[in-house]
Amino acid sequence: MSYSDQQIFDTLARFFAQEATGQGAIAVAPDTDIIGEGLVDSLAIFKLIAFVEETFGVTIAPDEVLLENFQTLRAVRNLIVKKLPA
Amino acid sequence: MLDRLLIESAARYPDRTAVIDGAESISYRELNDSSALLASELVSHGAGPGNRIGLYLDKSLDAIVALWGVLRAGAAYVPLDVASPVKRVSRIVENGDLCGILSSSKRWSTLGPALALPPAFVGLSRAGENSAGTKFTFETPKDSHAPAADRGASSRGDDPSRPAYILYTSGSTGQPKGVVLSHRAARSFVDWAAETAALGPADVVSSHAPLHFDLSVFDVFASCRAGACVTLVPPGLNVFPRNLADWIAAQEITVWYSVPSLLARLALSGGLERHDWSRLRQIIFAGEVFPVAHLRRLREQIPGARYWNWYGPTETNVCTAYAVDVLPSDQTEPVAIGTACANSKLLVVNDAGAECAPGEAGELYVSGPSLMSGYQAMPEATAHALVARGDGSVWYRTGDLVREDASRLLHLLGRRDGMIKSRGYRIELGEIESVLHQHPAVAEAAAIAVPDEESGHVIRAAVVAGTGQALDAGKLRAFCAERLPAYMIPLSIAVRGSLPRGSTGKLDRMRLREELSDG
Repeated sequence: MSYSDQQIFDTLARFFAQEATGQGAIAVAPDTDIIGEGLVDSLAIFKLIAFVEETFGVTIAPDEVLLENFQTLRAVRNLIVKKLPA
Repeated sequence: MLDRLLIESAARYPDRTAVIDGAESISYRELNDSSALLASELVSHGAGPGNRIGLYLDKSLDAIVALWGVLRAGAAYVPLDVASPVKRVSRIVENGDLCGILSSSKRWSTLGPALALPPAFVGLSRAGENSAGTKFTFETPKDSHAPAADRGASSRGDDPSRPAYILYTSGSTGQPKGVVLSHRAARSFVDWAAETAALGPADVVSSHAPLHFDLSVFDVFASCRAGACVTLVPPGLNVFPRNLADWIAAQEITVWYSVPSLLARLALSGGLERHDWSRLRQIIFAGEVFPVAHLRRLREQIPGARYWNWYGPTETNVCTAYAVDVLPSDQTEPVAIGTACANSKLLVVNDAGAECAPGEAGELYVSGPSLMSGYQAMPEATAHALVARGDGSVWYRTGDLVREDASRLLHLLGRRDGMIKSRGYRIELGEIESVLHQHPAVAEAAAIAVPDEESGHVIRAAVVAGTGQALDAGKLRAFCAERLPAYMIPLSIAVRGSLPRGSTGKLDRMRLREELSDG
C-alpha cells in the first residue's frame, strides 16, 4: 500500500488529535517540534511507535528510536517511507 | 549563605565555564556580574528578604541567572513548571503570594492572562539580544497587587533561616504544597553533597532535573561551590536513550545525577557499548527505587564509575546515602538507602510512636539543619509534618516505611499513605481524584497506582457518572490535562457503572487495582 505525504501527515496528526499523549487534543503541523514542545515524553514515544507500526505495517528497530527520526512529523514520515515497500 | 557560593567561585575561577546550555555558555565572572545586576533591578522593584519571586522560564542560562539574581536580592525563588497547566501554576502563584515573576515573552503570554492576581512586577527575558545590562526587561502588569508583607519572618538579608527557595509538590487535598527551604537547610545539604561527590573545578556535572524538582539543588549549588561546570541536559533527550548516551559522552560528563528510571532506560536501550565511559566517575541516583537488575546492567556497561543511592524527601533534602557495593547476581531486592548523611539524625518509629528495635519496620523520622521550615501558607499541613519529640527537637515524618538491616543500613519498604512515585515525581493519588471530582458529570472517582518496572508506577483511574450524565474517557483526560501536569494524568480512565467497595462502603483499592491492571 502506498501513501501520499499528506495521508501520512494526516494519519500522524490523528494520533495527537486523539489525546494519546496526555496533553489533550492538539493540532500538529508537519514541522512542529513535537519533542521540544513536550508533546511526546518518554511514555508517549512508545505509544507513538506502536501507532506507527500498527497503522503502516512497518517495524521500527530499537536503534532507530532517535531524536532525528521523531522530532517532527516530517521526520517520522521519512522514516516510514524508507520502510514501506516501493 | 547560598549566594556566597557564587561570589566565592567567581573570585577564584572567574574565567572557568559555570554553565553550558547547548551552544551557549557562561563563565563564573559573567554569571556573577549578570546576577548581581539583576539583583539590583529586583531590589529597585521592591524585592528583598521576606518575599518570593517566581521563575516561569524554560531551563536555560537565563533561568540560572534569574535564580542567582533572586537569591542575591535576598528573596526566595519559586520555580514554576512551564510544562504544568496554567491553572495549576496560577494556584501556586496565589499560594506563594509572589512579589514578582521572571519569565520570557512566550511563556508569559500564556500565564499572564490566567492569573487572577498578577504580581507587582514581571521581568521578561530578552533572550537573543546580546545587550549590556540585565537580560530582563521589567513591566508592571495591569491590576497587579503588592504582596502582603511576611509578618514574623526575618527581614535581615544575612539571616540563614530566611527562605532560599520554595519547591511545590503534589498535595493530597488537591492543592500543591510549597516546601520552604532556608539558606541554612540548603547549605547543609550542598556542603555535604559536594564533599561526598568529591566535586572539583575540573568536573562537568549534568543537570537533568527541572528546577522545581529538588535534584536540581545539587546540580546548581554543589557544582558552583566546587567551581565545576554544570551542563543542562536538553529536555528532548529524555525520550531517546541513544541520543542521551551520545550527548553524555560528547559533553564529557564526569558526574551524573538523575532519577533511576532514566538510567534504567540508558542501561536497556542507550547502546552504551558504543562509547568510552572512563571520564564518568560518579553516577548518583535519587527520587525512587532503582530496579536492581537494571542497576546491575548499567554497572556492567559503565564499570569504572562510583554509584550512589541518595534518599530524602524534598522536605529534608538528601538525608541518607549508600555507596553501592557488590550486587550479587541473585539479589533481587533494591539496594539500601544507606545511613544518615551530613548532619541528619534519623529515627525509625513504630505505630505506637516509640523507637523501633533494630530490624523492626517503622516510619522514618528525620531531624537536623537540612529540614524544611514548613509548607508555604499551610500551617495545618506543617504542624502535621513537623513534630517535636522528647528533648523538643523537631522531626519530619517522612511517611516512608523503612527497616534497618544487620549491617545497620536502612532499606526502604514502601509508603504509609496514598503517595506514589512515577518517574521520580511525587504524586498524591488524592490530588488526581480531587481533579476528577471537579468534573460536573463525575459522581465517583478513584485513582490507582499500578507498579511498573520502568517508571515505578503507572496511574489508572475509574469513574462513575452521575445520574443521567454521560462521560467520555477522552474528554475526561483532556479535562485532567488542563489541571494536572503530564506525569499525573491517568494513562487510562475507565468509565464504569460502579466502583468495587467493601462491606463498610469503603473503596476496595486492591480489587480495583486488579481490575484495572490489564488496561
